[in-house]
Order: sequence, then structure tokens, then C-alpha cells
Amino acid sequence: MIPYEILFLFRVMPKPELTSALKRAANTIFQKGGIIRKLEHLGTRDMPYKISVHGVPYRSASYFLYECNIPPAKIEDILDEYNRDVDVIRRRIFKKNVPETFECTLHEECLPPPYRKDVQELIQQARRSDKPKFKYNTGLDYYPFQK
Amino acid sequence: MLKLTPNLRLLSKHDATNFTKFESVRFRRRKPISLGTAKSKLFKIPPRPSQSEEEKLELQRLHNNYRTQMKSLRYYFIVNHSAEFAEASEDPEESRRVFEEDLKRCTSINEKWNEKQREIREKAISKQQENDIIAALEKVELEKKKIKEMKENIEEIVRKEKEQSKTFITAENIDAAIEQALANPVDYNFALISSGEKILGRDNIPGRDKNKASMNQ
Repeated sequence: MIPYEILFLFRVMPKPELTSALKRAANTIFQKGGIIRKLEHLGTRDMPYKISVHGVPYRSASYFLYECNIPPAKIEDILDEYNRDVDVIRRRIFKKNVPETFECTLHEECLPPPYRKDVQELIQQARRSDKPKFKYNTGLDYYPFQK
Repeated sequence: MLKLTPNLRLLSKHDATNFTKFESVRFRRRKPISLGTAKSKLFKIPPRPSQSEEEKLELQRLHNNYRTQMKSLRYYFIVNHSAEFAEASEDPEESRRVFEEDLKRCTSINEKWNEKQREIREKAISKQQENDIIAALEKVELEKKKIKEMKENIEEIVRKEKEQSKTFITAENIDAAIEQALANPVDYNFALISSGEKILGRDNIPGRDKNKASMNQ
């Protein structure tokens, strides 16, 4: 199963109601055959702009994050269910972004061009397409006669 | 005005002591061939190229020498090569025998050469085969290694998942998880300052009391 992140904006409500809303959302995932890995509260604060849902305008919300694995075929159903929940202002499902591990090579990239490995490779590549030059085979590194 | 080279022209005929009297011609255009011959040159007959008698004789001599030498060489080879046939040419039986002997000799030379080539060829083929077998074995080893690595990777993933499955939130412990989440709000926002230090928190202003900042959330 693919890991997903579900982000919720719940309307601001007292704790018992909020708890039951969160539980409802979690149970929906369980019913569709998903598993929850993590649940996080990202704070309760004013939203960037006013949002009207189910005929009511909201200006602040509680932000929640569910990290879960759900069958991809059930995503539509789950979103449909959350759409009809009057406590949910916004809901969105994202594929979990796994950050890539990489080595920092900034100090190499900051070197002057002739010292950079990729530039050296490019120069070698260019040398390969040079026209063959005549060799005198005199054993000298200069041409002994007047040209 | 005198034209010296295609791109230099001498300005004065009498004063060519230094190079100040030259003018460079940037391009020199020929008349196109389609214009035909000029009227004034229409009936001009260029003089025939003449060769001095001495030169002609000398060249002829050299040419004759060359021809004579080549001819004599050619005859020498022809005569020497066909000498053995020429001797036996009177008796047809004899000539046939000589021919067959020659053929046998040639065949033996050819066979010897073929034998040599066969040895070289067989050696090369056997070497190639050995190399092929080694390469194939290496490939099999590599494939086995790859499959093993893949399986190990899969095992690793399964092991990690099994380990993590202990911390999964299920229908039983959902209440506790919700309690835990509500009690500990998380803030991933941070700001970087010029020294590279991270200032964590959305409302965290340096210099202000941290506890006070987190209360705003």
C-alpha cells in the first residue's frame, strides 16, 4: 500500500467534539482497509483567508495530519465521506514525499572551472573529436627545421 | 597597373624597391564563362607549345630505356617460368606428368598452409569459447548476486514495516493517540538566520520568551 498524508482543517470546537470528529475521520480510514501510522496536531490558528463550507463561513481552524496507508482505489470514497462531514473545512490527500538522501558536493562545485570534475570530463570529450595531428617521430618535442 | 598575385597589385612599374607601392585587392572577380569570348580575342590563335629538340630527344631516350627494361623483365619471367613445360612439350604423356607433378607440389603447399591456418583458427575459436564460458558464468554470478540483493532489500523493508507495525494506530488505541496529539501540537515551521542557525516555531521570535510564543498557538 502506498503511504499517504491526509491534511485536515477542522472547525474550531470544544475538545470532546473535536475528539469525536477526529475519531470519525480515523474510523473512516479503518473501514476502508487503511492503517494509520501517525496523527499530528499542527495547531489551531486563523486561516489565511475566509472559507465558506456547508453554508457557514470560517475564519480559523484546527490543523491535523494523518499519516496513513490506504488502498488507492478507496481514496475517492474516503474523500467523499469527508466532504459530507460538517466539521471538516478542508481535506486533502497527498502521496507521502520521501526525502532523497544525497551527498553535499557544494565545495566541489565552488572550485574554479578547470578543477571541476565535470568540466574536466567535458574537455576530454572535446579532445576526443579533435582531428588527428601529424607526428614527425623525430623523438623531439619541437620541429627542428625552419617552417 | 600590374597584377602580381591574385590579391596584390603594384601601383608603379618603375618603383618596386619597397612594399609601399602595393595595393591590396580584396577580391578579384573573373568574367563569367557565359559571356563568351571577347570580340577582340575571337580570332586569336594561341601559339603552340614548343619543345626544344634536345629535351625531346632526352625524354624519348629515357622512355625507350624504361620500355626496354620492362619488356626484358617480362620476357625473363615468362621464359623461366614456362621452361619446364617447354622441355616436355613434345611428348603429351611427359607434359601431362610434369603438369601433374607441378599440381601436386602446389597442392601440398596449399594444404600445408591450410593446416597452419586451421590450427590458428581452432586455437582462436577455443580461446573465444573459453572466454564466452567465463563471461557467461560471471553473468550468472552477477544475476544471482542481484537477486540476492533484491531479496535482502525486500526482507529489510518487511522487517522495518514489522517493527513499525507495533506503533501503528488501530481502532483500540485511537483514543489515546488523539489525546496525545491534542496535548502535543507540532510545528514544522522554522526560519534560518545568517549564521545558519534554525529558529524553530511559527511564532517564535528570538529574544522573546519561548513559552509565551508557544501559548499563542
